[in-house]
Amino acid sequence: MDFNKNFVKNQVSRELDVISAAMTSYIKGVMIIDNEGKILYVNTAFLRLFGFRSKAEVIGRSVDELAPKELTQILLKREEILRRKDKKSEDFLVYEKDDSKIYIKTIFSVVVNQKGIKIGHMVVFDDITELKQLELALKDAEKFGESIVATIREPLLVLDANLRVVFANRAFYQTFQVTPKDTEGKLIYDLGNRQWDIPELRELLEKILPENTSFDNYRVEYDFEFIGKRVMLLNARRIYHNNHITRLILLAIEDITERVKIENALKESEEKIRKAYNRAEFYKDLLSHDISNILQSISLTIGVILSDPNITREQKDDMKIIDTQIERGAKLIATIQKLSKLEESPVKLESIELCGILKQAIKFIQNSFKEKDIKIKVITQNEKIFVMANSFLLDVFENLLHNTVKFNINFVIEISIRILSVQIEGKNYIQLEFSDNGIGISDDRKESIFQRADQENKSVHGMGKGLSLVKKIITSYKGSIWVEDRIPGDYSQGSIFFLQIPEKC
Amino acid sequence: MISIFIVDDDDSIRNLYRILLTKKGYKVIGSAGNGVEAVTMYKKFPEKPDIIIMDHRMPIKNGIEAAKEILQANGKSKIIFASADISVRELAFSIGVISFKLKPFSPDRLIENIEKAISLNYKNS
Repeated sequence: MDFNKNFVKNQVSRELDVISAAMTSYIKGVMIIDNEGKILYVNTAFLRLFGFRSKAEVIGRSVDELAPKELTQILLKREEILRRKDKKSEDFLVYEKDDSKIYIKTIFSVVVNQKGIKIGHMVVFDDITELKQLELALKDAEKFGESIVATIREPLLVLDANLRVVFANRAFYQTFQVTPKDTEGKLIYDLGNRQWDIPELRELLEKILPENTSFDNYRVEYDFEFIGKRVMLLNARRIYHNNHITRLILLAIEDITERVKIENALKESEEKIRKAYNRAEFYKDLLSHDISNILQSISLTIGVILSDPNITREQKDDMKIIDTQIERGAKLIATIQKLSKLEESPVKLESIELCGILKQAIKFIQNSFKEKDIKIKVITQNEKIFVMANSFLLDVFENLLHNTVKFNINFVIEISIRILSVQIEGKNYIQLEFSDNGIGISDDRKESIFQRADQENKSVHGMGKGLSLVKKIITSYKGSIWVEDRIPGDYSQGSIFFLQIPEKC
Repeated sequence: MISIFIVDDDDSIRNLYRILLTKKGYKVIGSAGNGVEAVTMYKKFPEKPDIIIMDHRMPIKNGIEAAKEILQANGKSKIIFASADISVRELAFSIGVISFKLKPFSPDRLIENIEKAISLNYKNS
């Protein structure tokens, strides 16, 4: 009998030793109190958690004497907590220690003796500070995200995996005239009297998005019940967990109705301009063609009259005047056609030998003004000079020389053409200087002579459209043209026209 | 005598060509007002003209098409293209016309071209 008693006693003693050792090394704080709230037991983790130095400070005391207050209040509520059906723990106790916060979860259980009689409570204290901090950080991040979303000017919806609205921003409510109450928690298709139950949107959210992380600029046109027809671009991003299960869906809705209206208006306007341009081109072509034919008839008539052997000298002179006018008309038509061609398409440039073209132009001028004494001197170091230009270069030289001769009242017309290489901002140009002894160009006309006499600038007179053509051609070569007095300060002594044309590399 | 065939849709131009060229000593063997008429008449000429003066913009068939068909029928035909449409200049040369005169041109220039064209080695103006 003594043997058995001793055995049981030893066994109990061993078990108590094991339990005591386990409690001592247990990382969670443990406290056992009796029915009156007197503390029977605390483990080492409890002391560490609440800053007690020894068990003696705690054991035998009543829980309502304990500091801190938060701990006392929770323990006093133990009966109430245990009466709960589901949650036998009090959420969190906030305890300050060394100016830091510790979040502790308290879990209550009833302690009964071997006869099943309740003798007190066991309370387990779990330090959940890290978990709580993560949770708070997550909430902060969500709030931060929501505040960003709220400020976005485009309507934006945050949906959960079941396509229910978690959040909608102010722009969404304003644009689609709905309230948060009628929106949050609702299935997207049920929003605003089911106005979002759009087949294309269903296709996007249920078929396209699950197979892709996102979709961009999906154009949807829909006639909404309250706000009318809208054109929208939908952009969506799927936010998912590591296991690829959708957590949230961000759906941005860009209302491009106004933009589309403007684009359509612009297209209409462009179409009108294109038609107007084509009409203008048609009439320009018709006019120049038909006028050319009329001039041709007149020219042939002159030919017929001049072929009469009985024609008088006076009649011959009259015919010559008419012939000159025909030439003027022909030149005008050619200039208009060239100006038009320069404006309608990008100019194709090629390597052109400049001196040969200049010689052709000089020959043309000398043939055109046979009755005048024209002395043209070309000063150049090189007979073969290549520039980046095109066939219009001949028109440039012919027009310049024609004007120089036409606006010169001297008995002998002197023209000097100096050709030299210049470098401007690291690029090589050929500079031509057409110097004459003509009537000159006053300062107030030095720029306007190159301008086109169009609708906005009808007042430009003097040298016809020739110089505006020259300017246009030179500009298309990425060159430049200007005029200066031959004798600085005295424009009446003649002019120098300066031309710079990019040299062939 | 050098024979000339005139093709132009403008009646007055056709008549003026005829009067001028006749006065200058050429023989105008016929004139046509469009491309189809020109090809038909050309094929019927028992003796082909030495020179054809061909306009471009004409009803039914334009000058380029007519010139092509005439040159297909007789590769040695000498066609002076006389048009107010500069845009067809290169095309006209590419099909084989020997000269291109941009309207308006002087009668003297036309005579010069005819004279050059009838000389054997003349290829271009």
